[in-house]
Amino acid sequence: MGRLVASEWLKLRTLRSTWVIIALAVVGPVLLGALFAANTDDMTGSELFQMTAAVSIIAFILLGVLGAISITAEFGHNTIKPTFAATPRRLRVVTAKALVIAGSSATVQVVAGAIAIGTATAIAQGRGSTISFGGIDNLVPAAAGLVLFAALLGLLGLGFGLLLKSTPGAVALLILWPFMIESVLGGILGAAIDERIPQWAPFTAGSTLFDLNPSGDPVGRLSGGLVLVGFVTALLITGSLLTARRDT
Amino acid sequence: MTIVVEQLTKRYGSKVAVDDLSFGVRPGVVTGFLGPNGSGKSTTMRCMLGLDHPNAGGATFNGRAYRSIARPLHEVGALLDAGDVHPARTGRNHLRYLAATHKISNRRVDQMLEEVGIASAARKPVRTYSLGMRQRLGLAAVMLGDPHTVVLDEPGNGLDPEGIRWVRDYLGSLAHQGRTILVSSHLLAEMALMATDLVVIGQGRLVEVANVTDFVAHHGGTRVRVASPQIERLRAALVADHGDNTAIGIEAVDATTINVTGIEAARIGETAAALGVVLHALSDETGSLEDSFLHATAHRQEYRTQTMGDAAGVRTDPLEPPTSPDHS
Repeated sequence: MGRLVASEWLKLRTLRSTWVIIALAVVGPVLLGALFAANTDDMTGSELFQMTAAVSIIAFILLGVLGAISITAEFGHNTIKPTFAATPRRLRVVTAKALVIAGSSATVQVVAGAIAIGTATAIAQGRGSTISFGGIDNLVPAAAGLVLFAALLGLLGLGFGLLLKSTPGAVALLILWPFMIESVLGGILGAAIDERIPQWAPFTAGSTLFDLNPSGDPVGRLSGGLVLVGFVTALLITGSLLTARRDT
Repeated sequence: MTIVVEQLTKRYGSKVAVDDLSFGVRPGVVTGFLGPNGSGKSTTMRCMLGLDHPNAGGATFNGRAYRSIARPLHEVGALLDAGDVHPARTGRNHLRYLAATHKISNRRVDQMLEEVGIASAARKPVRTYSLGMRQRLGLAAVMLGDPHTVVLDEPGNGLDPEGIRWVRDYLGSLAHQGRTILVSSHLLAEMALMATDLVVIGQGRLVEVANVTDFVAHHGGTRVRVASPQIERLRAALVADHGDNTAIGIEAVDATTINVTGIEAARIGETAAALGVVLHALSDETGSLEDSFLHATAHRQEYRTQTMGDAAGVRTDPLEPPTSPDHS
């Protein structure tokens, strides 16, 4: 597996598009966070963290795109043929890709989050706010949850890519999923059956991972995280099995 | 036989791309895999390499299915399409990601780039490469793991004559080292120069397994054109000498010229000399490979039409059965 991870990491980092996406995933939240901080009076540490988590949506979507492209580019340029010829056990290739995407997504989120918080803190302090992260409840689990969520979004993109084989298709689904499909479908089901249903939708439920104070009614950090993990896992397994069965 | 393809069948929907195809490929020579466009060559190769899933049958390399080979790059090098490269990645990085899967060193990568003659462009994106350079990059990828078996799909496609000669010489030297080389092409002239053995397919079915020279001789035949003012005497003598041989044909072109098939020019010349017949012309007219090929595949098509129209569905294959693959 080490050899395959090395190969997949090399594939990812030898494309300029990867670095453009990563740069946007860092710069986007940092700039947006700075903008918020520059226009908010008397910010507290917990407000600053929540604001950073909220602007990280830009990074999430871009990391999903990165995950999708890691496989759809192979289908699009037919490098999937030399890839599968070199490693006929396709599930191993997909596993290596998943490890690389999860790792890079988490790393990018750590970097983007740290710079965004640092920048926003400096701006808030410049405006006279006293920012302190001491004594904030659940800060560590929420921060860890933020990183885990980013990794899961990278994997979600990979799953969509495996399923659809097309970059535009996977990217469209990534953008439509949280903003359209979950809210519209969830809204309809919520109105028709139970108003708590939308909260269990994967993206929404998963968002409790980085919530400082998840209500736990009905969705808590653990249950919400498990919903997203389960959804992504099911998607990856389906996509992998399809990929193993398909002709190239 | 290093490569054995046995009863391979591949359908896409209702279309049969490869139909019960069996053949073997031996080491030490270049074997041409010949067929018109759309005859199933690429499909066969994708099935051989485990990229497409056959409906029946399969292929083995030294007795093992490709998918069961733990480190395939060290056993079988394959190039299906030189275009299967990400245009934004450099040629060197394309090789490096393949090499990484087998822990092949960067030194070997650079050595192969040198060997195929694209070292100077190695760090440029592949989108800047000509088709010829991409073919060379593809061959470098094929040889990364120093495999004993090489499978190439149309490596001459889009190459200029110099590039084709380079590929030919390169493959020739690989075969000379005792490797097993299977090269597909729809260009017959190319195969005549490159290959020793031929596997000919048409419409997904085996047409013939032959030696290139035999293939041409058998299908195109060697025709000798003979012109003489005393052509009738010579003709009578040839009929008297060989008349009972059905493989021999003599046809009149005009009052002083005949075409003879099945008798070598030297023998005709000797007969003429013995008779004291003056010859104005005596020339070999070898059928071109294109002719042989069209003849062979036309035969196949005719046969298919016949069997498809046969309500009883009884198959009477007019062709010789393929040589049974050797299970070594």
